[in-house]
Amino acid sequence: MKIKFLKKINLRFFRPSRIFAKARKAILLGFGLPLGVFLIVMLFSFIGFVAAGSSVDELSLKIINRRVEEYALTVSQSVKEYKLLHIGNTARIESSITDQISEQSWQQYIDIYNLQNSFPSLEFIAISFGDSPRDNILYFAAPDDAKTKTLIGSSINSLGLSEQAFAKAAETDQPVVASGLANELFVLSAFYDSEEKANQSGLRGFNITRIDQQKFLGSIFRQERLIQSKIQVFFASKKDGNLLYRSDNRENKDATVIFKEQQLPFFDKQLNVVYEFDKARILPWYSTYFPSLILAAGVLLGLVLTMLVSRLTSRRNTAIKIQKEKDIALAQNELLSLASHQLRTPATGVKQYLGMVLQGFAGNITQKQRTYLERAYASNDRQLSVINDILHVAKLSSGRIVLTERSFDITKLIREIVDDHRPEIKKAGLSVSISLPSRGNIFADSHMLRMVFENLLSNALKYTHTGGIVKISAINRHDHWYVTIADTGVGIAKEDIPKLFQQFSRIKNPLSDRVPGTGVGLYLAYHLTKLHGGWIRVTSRPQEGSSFTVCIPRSDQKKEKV
Amino acid sequence: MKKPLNILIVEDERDLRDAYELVLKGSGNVISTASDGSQAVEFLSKKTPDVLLLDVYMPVMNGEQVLKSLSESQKKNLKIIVFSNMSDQNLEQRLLESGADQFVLKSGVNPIQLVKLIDDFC
Repeated sequence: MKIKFLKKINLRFFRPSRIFAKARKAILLGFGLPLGVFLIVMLFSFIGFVAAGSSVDELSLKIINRRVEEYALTVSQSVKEYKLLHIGNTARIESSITDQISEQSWQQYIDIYNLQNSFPSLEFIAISFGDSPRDNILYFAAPDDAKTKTLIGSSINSLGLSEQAFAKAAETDQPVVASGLANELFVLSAFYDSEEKANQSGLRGFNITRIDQQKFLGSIFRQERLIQSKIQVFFASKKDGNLLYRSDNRENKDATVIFKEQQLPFFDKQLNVVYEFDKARILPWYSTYFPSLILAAGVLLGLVLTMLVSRLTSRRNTAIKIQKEKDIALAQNELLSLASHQLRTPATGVKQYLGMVLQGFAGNITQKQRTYLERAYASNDRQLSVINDILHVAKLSSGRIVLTERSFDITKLIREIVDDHRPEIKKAGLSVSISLPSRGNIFADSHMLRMVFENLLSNALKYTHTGGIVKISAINRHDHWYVTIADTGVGIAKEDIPKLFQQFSRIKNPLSDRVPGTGVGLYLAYHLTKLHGGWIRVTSRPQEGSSFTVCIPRSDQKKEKV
Repeated sequence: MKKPLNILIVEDERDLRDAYELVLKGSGNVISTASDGSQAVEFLSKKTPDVLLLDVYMPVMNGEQVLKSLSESQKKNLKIIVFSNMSDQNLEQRLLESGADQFVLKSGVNPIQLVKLIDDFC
């Protein structure tokens, strides 16, 4: 049953397939999970990028459509104003204007008829007076850009090349766009057909108005409202392909351009207008970057999450690793305890029965029998102490000795140890002198310190010839205890001193053949002292004796763990 | 002359059980034995000895389980010496917390020391 337990430990921790499976799991957790998180976040941010892109496009189309409607309205209003100017209002204007119109009365004229409000797209209207009233010319100007004003048209009194248009206008009494003259818009006055009426009118020469189409359109499109709307380029062309107007403030040839076409009624014709919108300028500055921002934020979020996840998984893996190491340490500890238990048990039986015979439980024995049994008993004792030593060394070298520290009286411990060794001292024919303070407190592991002092004392007893002296002293200085165990024994050669504290090293000396030992006593003493944050110092001369001083910090201000 | 003690020895190794019985009987005590934990628990449910000499590592029911199965009143009237060849600081600590009065390393005790241990203890 106990053997089975050993096997179980073995299998649980050292099966290679298990180790591989764990390694694979660690790799998957270490790289797979963070990578997966990153890819998922990337996927979502890409979807967000595409969706935001299309929503931005949708938004810009909406804005463009709205703008285009506004332009159509503006154009039709402007056209209507000009129609009114020439067809309707002039009939009333003429009666109040005289031949010698002064600047003052011109101003009056503008004021009375509220011209500037009635025709807001006109910047001003001016009259130039000729020799005959027919030579008086009315000028129209509209803002060309924010600062300058451009003359967009004037009334004319010569027929010249425009006969066809005039004929049509006369016939219909409507404004006519002359098809043969690309850039001119001819508008017929309401009074054209009646020379008399025309002469009566305040604006006597105002029968035919010639307006430059390009300038006219430009004035409409360049009205402040449209300029502010940040449209880069317009093309206005007639259906026959003639370019009527083109804004020339194209700034960025790399602009992402959206085209929009529109049919506009223009007096008696249809204008085919093509708008070019720069995507970057019709939307707020940030909206074109919006999809990229989403993508960038996604990448950032992905990186942060990946780092976080990778950190968490690595923390988890470390925890698993630590737990595994703990498990292994625990199992090895169990194994060691169990192995020593199994080794000790039969030896304990030997000890009991030999002890019973030696101690008279089985009646009297002869002196020879006693001698032999005592040798067997001593041998058994040695076997048990070897098991103890090996157990301790194994625990020590794998760092599994944990100090159980408490406060106790170190002088009492030393006295107890010496008392325990009285039979051996007597047997070896040695005298022991003790020099200790009456009390002495220390914070340490008493079991471990006992082991240290027992090992040193036992060595002193073993390696001192009959009649020798062993001196034990302890002093407390600078918050440290200095315990010295000195003998008048065989001593240690200088070259052997470095080897003293090595594991399983036994130094050759005149008594070493006769004295049993495993070579771990000083190794244990040295490391247990070190575990307490202390040290051991040796001074020795061959044939004169050795002195071992152990220094241990008195309080718990330590510790360098081995 | 001291009063004889009633001692229950719980030990699965027959050689050791016999040896302890012989030695402690020889020193004038009344001995009962059990070869595993469950026998010990059964015994203790009927009688209360003065001393319980309890091995730890046993089949069926180990010493630690025995300690845990005993009631506080049972433990109160009983001197419990845990006797083991397992030298493990944690185990020792656990056993003492479970109600053992003393932990003794079996291999460190010869017959004379065993008698002295019981005498000193009680």
